[in-house]
Amino acid sequence: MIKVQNLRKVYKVGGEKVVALDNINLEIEKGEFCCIVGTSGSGKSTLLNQLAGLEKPTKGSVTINGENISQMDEKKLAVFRQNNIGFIFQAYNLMPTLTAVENVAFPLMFKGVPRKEREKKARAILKEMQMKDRMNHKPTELSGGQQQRVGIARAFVGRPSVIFADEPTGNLDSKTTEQVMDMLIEISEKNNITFVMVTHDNELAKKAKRIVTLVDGNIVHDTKSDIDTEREEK
Amino acid sequence: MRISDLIKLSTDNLKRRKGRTILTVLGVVIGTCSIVMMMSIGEAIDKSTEDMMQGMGDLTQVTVYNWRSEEEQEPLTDSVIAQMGAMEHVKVATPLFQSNYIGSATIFGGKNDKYQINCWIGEGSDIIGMNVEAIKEYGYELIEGRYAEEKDKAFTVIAGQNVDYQFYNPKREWPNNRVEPVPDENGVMPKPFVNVYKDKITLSVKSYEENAKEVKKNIKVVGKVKEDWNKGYETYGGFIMNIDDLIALEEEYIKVNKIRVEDKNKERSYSQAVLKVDDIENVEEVLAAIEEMGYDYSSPTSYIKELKKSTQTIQLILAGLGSISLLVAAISIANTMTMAIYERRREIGIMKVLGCEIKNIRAMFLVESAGIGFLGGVAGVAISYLLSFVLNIIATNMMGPSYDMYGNIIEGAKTYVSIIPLWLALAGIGFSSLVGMLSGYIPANKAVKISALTAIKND
Ligand SMILES: Nc1ncnc2c1ncn2[C@@H]1O[C@H](COP(=O)(O)OP(=O)(O)O)[C@@H](O)[C@H]1O
Ligand SMILES: [Mg+2]
Repeated sequence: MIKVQNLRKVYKVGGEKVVALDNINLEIEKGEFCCIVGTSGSGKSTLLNQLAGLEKPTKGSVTINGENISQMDEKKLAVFRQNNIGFIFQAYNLMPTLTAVENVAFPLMFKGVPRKEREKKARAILKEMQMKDRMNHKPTELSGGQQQRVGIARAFVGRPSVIFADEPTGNLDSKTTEQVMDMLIEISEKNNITFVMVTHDNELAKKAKRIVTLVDGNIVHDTKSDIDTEREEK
Repeated sequence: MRISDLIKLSTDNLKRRKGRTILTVLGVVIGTCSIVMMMSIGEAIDKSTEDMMQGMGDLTQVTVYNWRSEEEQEPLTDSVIAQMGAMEHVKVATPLFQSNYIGSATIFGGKNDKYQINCWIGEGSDIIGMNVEAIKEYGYELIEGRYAEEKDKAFTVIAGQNVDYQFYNPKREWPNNRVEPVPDENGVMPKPFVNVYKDKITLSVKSYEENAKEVKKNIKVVGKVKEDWNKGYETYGGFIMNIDDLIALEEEYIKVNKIRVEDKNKERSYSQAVLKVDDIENVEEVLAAIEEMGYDYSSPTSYIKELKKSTQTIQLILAGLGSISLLVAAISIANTMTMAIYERRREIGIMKVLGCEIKNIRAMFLVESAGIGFLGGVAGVAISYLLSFVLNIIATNMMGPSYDMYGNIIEGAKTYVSIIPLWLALAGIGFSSLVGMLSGYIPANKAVKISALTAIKND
């Protein structure tokens, strides 16, 4: 499903090189729920951005569904994202002028889905997430947890094969965090969607079947809880 | 992405910042208004010159005058006129008969000179004398018979379409003294007193002084020309004849009445001559050549030129004002769009992450800036219509009532100083939309370069 080979990302900051990712090799299977953990600055976000094709790597490649996204141009990438990738942000990142339904339907607009059809789909998902009576609210009229549900619904609406999430619960309180996390796991499993999320919360990560731990741009642990084996890289 | 979605997104964004949008639109309104008004004045001028040309006479005709003193210019003699006739683009040049000794005449018709027409002789009156070979070239359109020719006997003439009806019976009282050329209920024209082809027609010249002696000539009408008010009254009810016959008549009259004439042996010169130019396009060139020769002239086209020149200044000012204000408006649109894009760079990043293609991001901003232009264009055109309406009312009141050719007031006649045809309104809106779109081009291309990562950064 997702295959990362010899991925390296170096930033140049004022003549100085910052190695955000050193040498990452990783394979994630279809339908897997994977958490990337690590301390702040360990390269989690950088890795996720590479996986989602938001940035080009310095070296190496990322392959999703057999397509090398590291070599795609921007136009191809956009179409690829429309059809294969969902994204959940830490800061929700809803469009401030749109209602909940319109926000959820937003990615389908880029695909050219007619307004009625896409809003019907959006309503169905929002209903599933107990957001029925918040459909026509603007983001400012919603709580953090509700906004993130809208954000999650938006990631799922296009039925992508993989969803990436960068600290999706980072701005939520612990109770809401729990709810949102359970919801993410449930929907991904139900729809057999590969889910890759970044968190710095080790406790939360334990809910995931797969946990990848980063230190200084390298994978140091890669655990799969269901087969109960722990492999150490390097 | 669908166009309807693009437009919806863009209009939503314009509504988001109403104050700023309105201010930007205002600039476009002023620019569009100036340009549309400039064009509308041009339209009005074109229309009024067109209307005026109807009553102004033949546009390819040039009249040359012998106004200046002999020291200043060579008198208008046959040789000078022939020289003008030989100029490029001049179809024909002929003197027009004008006399200090015979200014009026009576045309008699019928048995015992029972009916008559009282005529003036000379340019702009009933009897026109010109070079016989010029009559056809001059543009008189024959409806019956033939033109007079060089080889014809003296006083072989052509007449105006309604000449028969001009004869009246001096022994009777009005209205029974004449037959009007008006058809009856059945559309049949009444029979006139005289038939110039069949009846005996004579031309008589005689002063009102006592002892004055009459000179009388038989004239033969060989054709009639079509009524044409661009030419003159002669085409309606007058006569066109060989200038040589009239000169001979004048000489005879002087002799018979023993009038003393100074400069008897001097070559005859004319007070005016007319030229016929082959095409309106070439009138300017001919006028320049005549000016070169040192003669005064008049031509309907020179009047139109004057009119155009005086309004051109107003148009130029408006055009300048319009271009400057549209340029300022374009800069302000670009500025507004740059600001909007800066404010929304995070949204642009999100859209990219969600799979929006860059061409759609660009299109979104172009539709937005074109929208500003469009709104400004619509408002500008609306205001122009209003301005145009008010200006025309003011102009109509200032000009006073209009009269028709009989001197009656024409009810509801208006003076137009500004006309906005539909095409101008549409062009105004189209142009301002285009300016809006072009102004947004550079900012929109900046927008598409915003990285998707902008959405991720938490600042
Ligand atoms: N755009 C960037 N420019 C320069 N350095 C960056 C950039 N993004 C990340 N880094 C650096 O790369 C390292 C990894 O960052 P990041 O992936 O954000 O860590 P994490 O998400 O695990 O906190 C950090 O040292 C960070 O300063
Ligand atoms: Mg991070």
